[in-house]
Amino acid sequence: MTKAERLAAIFAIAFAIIYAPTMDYNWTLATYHPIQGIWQFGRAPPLSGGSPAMYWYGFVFTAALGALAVTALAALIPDKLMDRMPWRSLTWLVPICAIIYVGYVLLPYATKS
Amino acid sequence: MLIGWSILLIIHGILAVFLLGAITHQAVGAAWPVTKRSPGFVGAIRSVNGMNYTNVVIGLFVATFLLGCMIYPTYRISVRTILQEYRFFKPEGMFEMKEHLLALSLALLPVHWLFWRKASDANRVARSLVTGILAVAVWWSFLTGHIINNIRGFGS
Repeated sequence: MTKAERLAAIFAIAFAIIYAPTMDYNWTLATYHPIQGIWQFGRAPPLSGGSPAMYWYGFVFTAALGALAVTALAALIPDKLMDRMPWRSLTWLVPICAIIYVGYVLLPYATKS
Repeated sequence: MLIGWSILLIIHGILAVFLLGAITHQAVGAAWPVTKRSPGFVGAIRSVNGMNYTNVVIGLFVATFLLGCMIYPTYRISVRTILQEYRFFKPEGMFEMKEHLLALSLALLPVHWLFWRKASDANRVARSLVTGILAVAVWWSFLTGHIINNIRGFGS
């Protein structure tokens, strides 16, 4: 596995690990208010007048920024140490686990009527 | 104003159709390759060279994703509120799942590109499964978008 492949794999793995709890606990980096067209840093409540607050963009920012930081740190670790991890398997295994976690969090949508 | 968003939504849908075709060919070719050329429709799909689809899949995915990000606020204001009002929880949940699946898939694109650039027996399983995850995400998203559009699309 080349270093670029390993770092891309680490980015995908870190993104999935960070994203799943981020969407569950709303660790959003930004909030968008679509009616007013206003961005706010961090988690902000909906503005008055029945305007919804959108957090999903912030989830992506949180996970992307976190994953970039993890990847940058991983790039500093010697290759000999990094080669011991099964990065190829983790590349698909971790996102599948994250998808299952997200599905579990969203389960109430399927059961409520 | 709404006609402008509808045009964007239709372009988003057309790009999604192209993406669906490309990722399905790549996923089937990776997971179920033929050992020798065989005649027929299924054989033709199985025998595609997945490497040829990589750049197209990534380009279409990013373009469709960005268009979706632009349309998303309109969905949040004009469509989701209706889904909640009429207690259409399952389509609403499907859309929630769609956005999370696509975010997770977006992060897989760099490794997807690198795996396909140097496709080998060593990365065949990982390459097939990463492509499979992307294919499932794209299919889920396409069908969800189609259902949501049926409920509250242009002209409804």
